[in-house]
Amino acid sequence: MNTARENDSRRRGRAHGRLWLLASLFPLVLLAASALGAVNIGLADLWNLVAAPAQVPEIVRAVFWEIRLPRVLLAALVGAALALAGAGVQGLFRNPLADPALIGVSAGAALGAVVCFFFGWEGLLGGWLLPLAAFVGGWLAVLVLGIFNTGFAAGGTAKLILAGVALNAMLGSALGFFLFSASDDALRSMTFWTLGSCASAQWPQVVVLLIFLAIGGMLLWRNARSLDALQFGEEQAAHLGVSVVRVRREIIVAAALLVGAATAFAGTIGFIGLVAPHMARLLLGGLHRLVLPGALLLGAMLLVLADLGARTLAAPAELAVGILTAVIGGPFFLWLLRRPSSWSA
Amino acid sequence: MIPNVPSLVAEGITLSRDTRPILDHVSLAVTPGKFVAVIGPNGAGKTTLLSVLSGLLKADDGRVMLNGREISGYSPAERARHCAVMRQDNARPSGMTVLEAVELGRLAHNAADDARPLAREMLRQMDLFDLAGRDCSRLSGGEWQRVAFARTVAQLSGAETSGLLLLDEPVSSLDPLHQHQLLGEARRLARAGHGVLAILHDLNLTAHYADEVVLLAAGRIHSSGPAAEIMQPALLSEIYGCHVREIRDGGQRALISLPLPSAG
Repeated sequence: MNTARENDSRRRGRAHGRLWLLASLFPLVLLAASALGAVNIGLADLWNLVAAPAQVPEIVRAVFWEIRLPRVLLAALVGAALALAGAGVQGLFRNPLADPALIGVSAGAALGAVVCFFFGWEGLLGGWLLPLAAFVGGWLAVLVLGIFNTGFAAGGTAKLILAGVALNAMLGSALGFFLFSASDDALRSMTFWTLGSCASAQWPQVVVLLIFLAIGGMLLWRNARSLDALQFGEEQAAHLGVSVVRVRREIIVAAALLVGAATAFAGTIGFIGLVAPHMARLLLGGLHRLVLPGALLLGAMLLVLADLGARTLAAPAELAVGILTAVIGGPFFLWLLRRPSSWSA
Repeated sequence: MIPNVPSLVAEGITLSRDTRPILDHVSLAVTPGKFVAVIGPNGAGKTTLLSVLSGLLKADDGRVMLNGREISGYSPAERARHCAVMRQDNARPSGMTVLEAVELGRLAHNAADDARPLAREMLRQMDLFDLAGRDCSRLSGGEWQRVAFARTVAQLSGAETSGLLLLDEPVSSLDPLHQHQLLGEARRLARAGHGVLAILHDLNLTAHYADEVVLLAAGRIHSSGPAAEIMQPALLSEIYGCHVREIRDGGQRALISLPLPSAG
């Protein structure tokens, strides 16, 4: 009798311990990424930047406040947003292969951005037209998908997934058309954009993304228990009191806000939305009140590290961060998969 | 004090899918204190009926009243506080312990802090306490069915009015001992003032536990009434198309269904 209870409490305790471990690793990763780069900033200087700015060379101050810190923070926010969206979509679809890209938002955003490059509009509105077009493109795709969020009992979720597949294919065709017809210069910009980058980071973008992350994160958080119940199946969840169609709508809106905003500022970055939630589940178990914060932290750290690699590995040249996310995260994920499951009691 | 007003009333439920009739003017009532069993051959429309009774599926015609109000007027959460349903197709989540799964029975209830002690109590009652920390994906089919039942009962606990328990083949994966344990618990809940409706296939268990039996065949109610009236070998042989005999052992009545095609 007691062993069962202890088992359950121990498991809960271990999961919370691991979440705290991730939470305490996070500032260390941010700190390391802020220190390293084309100009390395020593720990003493990092401390002085806050405590005694006058003692720090002006060039270091400028690099840190104007370039380094906004970029590190943007990477963290983009990674967090993609991972949160992935956790929500995977929980909703009860499908481990579900990716936020499934709901069409990434492809829609890519199309918006590519259209911008195609007509050479990326510099308009002080450079804000590009993220705006990407965000609007992502939203239009999700609105089309929303038409299919009606049916409930008769495989409503499966219909939504299939609609997403069809939508992605159509957007892919449109994307292909613009890529095919683009001038060489535009094509180069498009290619870089679709590989993702945090290089354009500035404070206003950090602030905007933070707002989107807060809204999307809150929408997901308030549905965390419903997502748990959905793991029994949609009908059973409805019997437990879940408003399935409303929850589905809120998760999709949250994912669209998160992925739309992240993609608008950093281009399309794969892998994180798919894998960070799985890492969280392997480490913390399946309850969404643990998976959501866990995925947020893991996604943020993954992209901060990938971006660190992107700007240091080939310095002074830059690599596209999308090339590195899988290189950094893949081995860790494979190791987690290989480990004997810690969730067998 | 068990109120005499039915907690669930269905009137003239009619439903067809692609012009194929599934349910045809089905009417029934579940009164608090009573265990009602719905029996009938495969494809008779039992599970569809349960979906309509629980408010998930809208019938083409007819209405379902839950505690005096049309069921379509309830929000999902409000409905869940009055009516707990155990479906046949319960997906088994991974990364969730048995205790956590049972706690989710309290999802629609606002006081979340009582969920864990209550879930523990349910597991103790159902003899499942040793599994509390086990991952749901590591349970056997029968264990999972008992856990799902514990979750369903947890959902009704503390209902202000008399609750309604709808069970779709709740003992299909259980060994004989646990079949009796689960149905005994369901009947105890009925005696405590809840209404219980269960879809069952085992005729002996039906005869033993049900107060009333609804015999559904081809989408219609063939007959309904007190269990002793409906559970008659001749009637059952006709409906199921196989030979059903009754044997008596020291006053205990048992129905035996032989897997032989019926002579008529």
